[in-house]
Amino acid sequence: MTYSRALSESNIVSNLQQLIEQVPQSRKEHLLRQLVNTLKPNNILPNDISRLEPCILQLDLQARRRIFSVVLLSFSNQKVLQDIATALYMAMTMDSNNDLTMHYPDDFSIARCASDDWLVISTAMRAFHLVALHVCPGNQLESCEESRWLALLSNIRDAAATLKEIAITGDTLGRLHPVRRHQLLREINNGRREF
Amino acid sequence: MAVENFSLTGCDLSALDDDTWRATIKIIGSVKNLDLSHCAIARLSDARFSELIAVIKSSRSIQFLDISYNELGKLKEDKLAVLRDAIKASSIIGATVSGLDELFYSRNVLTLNRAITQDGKGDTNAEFFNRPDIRALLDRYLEVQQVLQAHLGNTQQRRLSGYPLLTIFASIITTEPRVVVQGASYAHVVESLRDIQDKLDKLMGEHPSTPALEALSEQLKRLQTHAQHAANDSPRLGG
Repeated sequence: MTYSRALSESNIVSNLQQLIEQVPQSRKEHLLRQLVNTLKPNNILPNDISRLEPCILQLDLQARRRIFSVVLLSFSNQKVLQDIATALYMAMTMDSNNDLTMHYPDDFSIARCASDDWLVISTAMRAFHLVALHVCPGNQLESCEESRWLALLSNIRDAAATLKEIAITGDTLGRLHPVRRHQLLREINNGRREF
Repeated sequence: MAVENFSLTGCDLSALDDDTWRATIKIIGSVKNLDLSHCAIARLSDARFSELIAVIKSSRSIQFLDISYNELGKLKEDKLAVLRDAIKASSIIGATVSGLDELFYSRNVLTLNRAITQDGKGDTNAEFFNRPDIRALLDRYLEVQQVLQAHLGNTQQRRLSGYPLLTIFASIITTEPRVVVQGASYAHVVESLRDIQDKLDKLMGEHPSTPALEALSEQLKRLQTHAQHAANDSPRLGG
């Protein structure tokens, strides 16, 4: 990823934000729903979106996912999601390698956030190069439904080549069911699976 | 790439089940930067403490270790000596064994901190801890604390209010330690020092001043100024 390509991704984010902002509210909601749908498996890019920003067609799947996740979270009315969007945007613009430190704030519950929001964030974890992951008690990992828990583990596993920092702060580990504790530590200890 | 930076700050290691403890120990021994601040290390069983010491000593990976805010001052002398020896013999190049405000509360922690610094294993804050004015302030504080403790032991029935110099420290010592889950910060130090200063100012307003109180007040002010500058330059200790 060159600097100019990284810059163009952030430009596309800005363009999309402006274009979506300008349309009527009902149309805006429709476009945002379509953007979410593009993040679901086997979903193709809707014409609405490609007509809005044609250069998206030239980008690979991961670049599209990075752009869409930033745009979607930036339109959230929750500050904590906007903060995550900012972190993603910074990773996109400040680092030519899209290296992402995913710091889940203490007021963000992975267990209780809306399913679409989790889809966007989980997708972003895979679309960027995840280099650091910080989880804390407020993320409520202990009460995550199985699919979200497995998605988190899968994201850690998939990031094994890039992930170099993990912080599990406060009582996060203590609150987890022992089985989940063990699963989490096993993924962290990726490559040394003897235990 | 294996995980290089690993933080469990705020995790009560003594409460982990055995499987989790073993898995944690394996990770601990294989990372480069390890943050075990606020992990209740002083409450570990003898067996777990020995395992932790062994992995710190034998790991060829760990370069930076943070074990501040673990109530290490409550450990017995022999355990503190074992900890010092393990860090001395390890591959660690920068160890943080105490937060700044911890040094006000425990002679043992202060001694350990100095020993680690003497061994050339201290973190970048060692320069700060070694400043003559900071050393003098810490020593002064600990002397007062010792007097207080002796006084409490000998004259339980007497009111502390008759001893203004001691009263201020009594209120500080009996305050529950703050929980700083995100780790030590200069901002936290500034806050702690301001708390002490406020109590000292109140005390000096209520009682005739003494040279010792005046000197302590001056030292506190200088320390606050330094910590405030440090907080502005580097919000996180060692950062």
